[in-house]
Amino acid sequence: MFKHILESIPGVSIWPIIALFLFFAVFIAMIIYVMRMDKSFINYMGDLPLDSSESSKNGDLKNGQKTN
Amino acid sequence: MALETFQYDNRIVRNFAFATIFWGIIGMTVGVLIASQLFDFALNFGLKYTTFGRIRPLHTNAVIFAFVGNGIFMGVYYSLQRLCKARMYNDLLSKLHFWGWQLIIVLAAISFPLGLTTSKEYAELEWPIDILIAVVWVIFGINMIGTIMKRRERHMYVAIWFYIATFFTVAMLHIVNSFEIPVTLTKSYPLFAGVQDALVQWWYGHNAVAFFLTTPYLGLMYYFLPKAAERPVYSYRLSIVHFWALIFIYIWAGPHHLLYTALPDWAQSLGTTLSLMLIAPSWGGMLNGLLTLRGAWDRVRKDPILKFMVVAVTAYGMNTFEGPMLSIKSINALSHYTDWTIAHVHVGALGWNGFLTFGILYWLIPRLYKTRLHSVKLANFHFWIGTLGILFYVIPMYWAGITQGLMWKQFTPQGHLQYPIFLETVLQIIPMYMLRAFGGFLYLSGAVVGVYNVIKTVKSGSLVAEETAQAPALEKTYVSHHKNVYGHRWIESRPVQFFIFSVIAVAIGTVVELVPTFLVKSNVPTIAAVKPYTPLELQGRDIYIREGCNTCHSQMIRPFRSETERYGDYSKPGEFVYDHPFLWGSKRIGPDLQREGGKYPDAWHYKHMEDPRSMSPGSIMPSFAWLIRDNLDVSTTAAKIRAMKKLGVPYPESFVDKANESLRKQAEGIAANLQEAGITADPGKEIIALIAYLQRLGKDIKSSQMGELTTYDTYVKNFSGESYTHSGEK
Repeated sequence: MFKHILESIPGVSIWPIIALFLFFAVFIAMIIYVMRMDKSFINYMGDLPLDSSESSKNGDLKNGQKTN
Repeated sequence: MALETFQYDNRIVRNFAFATIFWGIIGMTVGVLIASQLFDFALNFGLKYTTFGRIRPLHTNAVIFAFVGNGIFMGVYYSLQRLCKARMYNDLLSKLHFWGWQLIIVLAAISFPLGLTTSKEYAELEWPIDILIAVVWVIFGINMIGTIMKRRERHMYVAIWFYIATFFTVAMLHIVNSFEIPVTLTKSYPLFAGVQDALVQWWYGHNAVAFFLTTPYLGLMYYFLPKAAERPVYSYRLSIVHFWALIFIYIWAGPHHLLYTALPDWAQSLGTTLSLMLIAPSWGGMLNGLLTLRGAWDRVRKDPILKFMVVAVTAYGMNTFEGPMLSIKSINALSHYTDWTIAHVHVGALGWNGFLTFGILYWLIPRLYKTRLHSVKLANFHFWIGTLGILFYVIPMYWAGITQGLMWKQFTPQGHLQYPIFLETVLQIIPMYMLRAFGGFLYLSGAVVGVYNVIKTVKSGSLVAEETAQAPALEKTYVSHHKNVYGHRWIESRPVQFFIFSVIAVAIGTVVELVPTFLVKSNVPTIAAVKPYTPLELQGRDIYIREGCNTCHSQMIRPFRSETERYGDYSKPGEFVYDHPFLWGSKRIGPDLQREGGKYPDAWHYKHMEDPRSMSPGSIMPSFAWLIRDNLDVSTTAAKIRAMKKLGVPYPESFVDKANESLRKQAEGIAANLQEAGITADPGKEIIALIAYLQRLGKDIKSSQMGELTTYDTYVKNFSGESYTHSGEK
């Protein structure tokens, strides 16, 4: 079974360390990426649940129609 | 783009809202009942169906899956339609989802009092219901993803991300933790045993908290809090970080439920580390929620909806700080098995889930019925009595937990246990149990007032079952007007890619934790002396499971002197290799039982089960007198042995046919022991099997050290030998 194949992986216990570094790398990259995001897009996304602003658009269209 | 007109389905939201309220009241009432049983054992009214061991799972499941579960679906069905600017994908699926889920809850409410349980916390339901859960959950998933696919809003708001991650992860957790072999329609054995079963269970159990009680509710927070506060979330950037970091880390933290147990050390350390890391995203989310109210704090003073939400988010913050603290080994050494854990989870359940649900209900019901809330005053009253209820609940529980934890560990200057009798430490905290039940009662009263308020509100309006809305269809080709968002949009405006990324995030932790434990043999060193259970012991074990003994008694002695002095040698991973399922337990309302075998004579157990107070005066354990009256069902013995053999338990080849014969033989031996003590007992009764199991606990190593025959040697090994003939009895 596949069990025996995986069993023979040498140093399977190093996985946690690798995963931890992987996480940190992804985490840092994500923060940098989020910081660089466009302000107008952020505002647009934040306003999505609110009736007042969601009236206008899907995507970036601004047609001023009330939807809700 | 032409405008499209469509209707939001409010009826399904209303149905889920009513179900939330109904099951909430049921779940809380059962909670108050079991809390009261801890200071008055007679409150099971002498019935087997209402003993603590059987209905404690009813309480936890009702609150988690019925109250919070329906709350999730209520919030998701409301917010998803609006965030996607689309009706739910399919009305029939919505209906199937709703009624299917209620059916599961009703089946749970019937099967737990009957004693049908797998014993795995928050996954106690037996296999046919497990399958039903999987089916209904997939229906929910199809309905949700279908809605997302036909949305009219290109971008998926962060709440939807939380919903998607919830759907996938809960499906994965439920399926993996439910790998089991059916024995009968109402009984199954899990595929995994001992340490591995424990790890899978707490990987599941912890993430049931994470992905059922937390992530969907965070999604609801990100939608309903801005709605109620009438302002956008404080930082959408933070919510992105919150989401990815949370779902990535949460899945790793399961082993913190198993600190100092027989789980391999590296897995424990990993659980602790990742649990501590969880503070960062959790608090990011909490602050994001609270800061959403910046500039609106004056409204919090008047608006009960915001009050509920503020306390909910604050409780989330306290809880997610406390959780990592409890994952630190030195703190866990004191807190584990005590009421501290109970206090911790109730800050979450009563504060975070309960109060957010109430806040959402008070916001939602008037809108569904196009009316105003019947009474803001009553809602305020609900808020205050609920808050008081939480305080009366958790403070005594912290007090009780720390007191009892310290008493367990206290030594005299001579080096003896200061409180060697476990019961002493229980009686010390009985007043706290009373206060806790009072707190629960206050909280329940608040909820009842809430029900009245909701009914009045509903009566004053009429349901807007179909709410008309308009939005333009999505254009096929899309050109962004924003800068620097390419990668982000690649994920968040494409549900399929997004789904795959979430899966990867939760899969990494799962693989790292589970795979090595299953595959590296050295993680569970076998012990030659440890033998499988005899048929009678196996039946006794299943009675132990049926009665939920593991709800109050652990079978896991941690390597502390205070525990080895009290209970005997600490537990080793190899001792549990035949335990399908593991029964380590998570709370010591009574003492640990792992080395119970041989501590007392059979007659002691007999009398103790009949009336616990006859053997230990003051005990809060209910009487289990029906075990003495009821006949043991031996029709399942062969099937059980066969299932165990399939799971890899090495019973001899020819043993299946002889199992009941062996069972009778061993039962007669115990009946004879009882007779010597002056008790005439029928060897065919359930109590005999339970005594056999209890007397077996922890005996293997002791027996082999003393060169004695184990019950396995006598009743299985020698029994199946060809030289042994007992065919005349068949």
